[in-house]
Amino acid sequence: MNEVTPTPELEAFDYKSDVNPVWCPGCGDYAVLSAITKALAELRLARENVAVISGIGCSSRIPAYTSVYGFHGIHGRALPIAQGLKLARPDVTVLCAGGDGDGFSIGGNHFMHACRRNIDLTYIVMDNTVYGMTKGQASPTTEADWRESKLTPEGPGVPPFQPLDIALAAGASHVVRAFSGRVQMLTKYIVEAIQHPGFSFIQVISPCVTYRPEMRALKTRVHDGFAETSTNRLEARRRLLDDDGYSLGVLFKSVEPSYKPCATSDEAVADLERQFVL
Amino acid sequence: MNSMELFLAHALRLEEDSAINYDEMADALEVHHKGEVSRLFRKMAHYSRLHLAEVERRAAGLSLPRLKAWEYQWPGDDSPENAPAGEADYAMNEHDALILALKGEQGALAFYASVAEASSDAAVAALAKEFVAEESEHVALLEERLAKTPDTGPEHDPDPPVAAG
Repeated sequence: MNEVTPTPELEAFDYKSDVNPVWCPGCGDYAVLSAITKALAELRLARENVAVISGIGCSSRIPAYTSVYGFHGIHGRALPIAQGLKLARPDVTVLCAGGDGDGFSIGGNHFMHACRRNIDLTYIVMDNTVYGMTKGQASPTTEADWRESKLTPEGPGVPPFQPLDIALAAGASHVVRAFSGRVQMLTKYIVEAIQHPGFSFIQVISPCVTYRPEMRALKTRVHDGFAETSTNRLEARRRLLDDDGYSLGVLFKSVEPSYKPCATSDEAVADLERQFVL
Repeated sequence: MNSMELFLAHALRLEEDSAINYDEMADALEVHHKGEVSRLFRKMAHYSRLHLAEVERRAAGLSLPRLKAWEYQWPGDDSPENAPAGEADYAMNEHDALILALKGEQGALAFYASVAEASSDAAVAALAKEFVAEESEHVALLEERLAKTPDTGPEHDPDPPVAAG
């Protein structure tokens, strides 16, 4: 996290815009918005020094609901935009947000490389295991036997994407799973993620009660399985071997080098161009 | 909870969170053209703000601790008067909304009752009992209204979401 001068007397509601969310009643994303604004208030970050970048999907509407800078980008490309912003303006606190489809399918490749580059930003994925905005199709994290969509009447038939495993394998240095129904803990995780000097990934289980009403029961299934944070990547990956998908907590945290662009180049653009001449 | 400052910091947060939570649910239902349900939540937000103003009056002149969001000593995962927003849905009727509001008020009542019972500070316990009385009134009013409001089932949706994928 950058060293910034704290802004006095900003409350969580100061970080909310006057645009009312159009999420469905009961959507977990309301709680994520609440936790983000509480975290920004906790850190007393000046609004002009924060940016929220998103892609496409229900959850990707979130920049409009905050009063900090925002960019509602294109599908799956939130991370390239967020990384570009952070490299160009390292003084800005960058949050990147979106859903499981945006982040793990359309933007899946960017996710892996963002983990690997370890650029200092916080990526919050509101994982509702469904494409809600397009009316309820299976997403990368949907269970193989989920049969509620006419597009996949026998279920997607493929094992769900494992975000934490992929994040660890690809090199993310701060890996967390949270639940939107536990706002206090989510707020704490977001504060810690922003303070972490590197790429922080938070998978937030965020129920879609409209297209997956059975997700209401998740509040009784989540548990503090990652109560102790590992600083050893191998050990963290071992802990995922018997993870049921509902363990919450900071799974892994380690301070590791970040990608830094070359500050200067000895070669002129014309010299570089000559290498491409056929 | 044995200090007036700490107790009032909790009461302030509880009432403010509750008002915001009710307003959010009112806004969400308004988007779905559920005017009656939206108005109910808006009214609940208004009552929370009235109680908030009263707590602010009690806290005047005291130096309250600035707690981090996760340092509040709530009995559950969330601010106790927050109606369980995750149980809301776009097809809910007034009966459903009253049940959610009732759960919120019962949460506040239980919290204040636990402070009244457990606090070793006589002034804190006495004030918590006052708040218990107020929340009990809210619970009674909601229960009375709930008894008069039939459950008409979810509103008919010609294009139900779950079958639409």
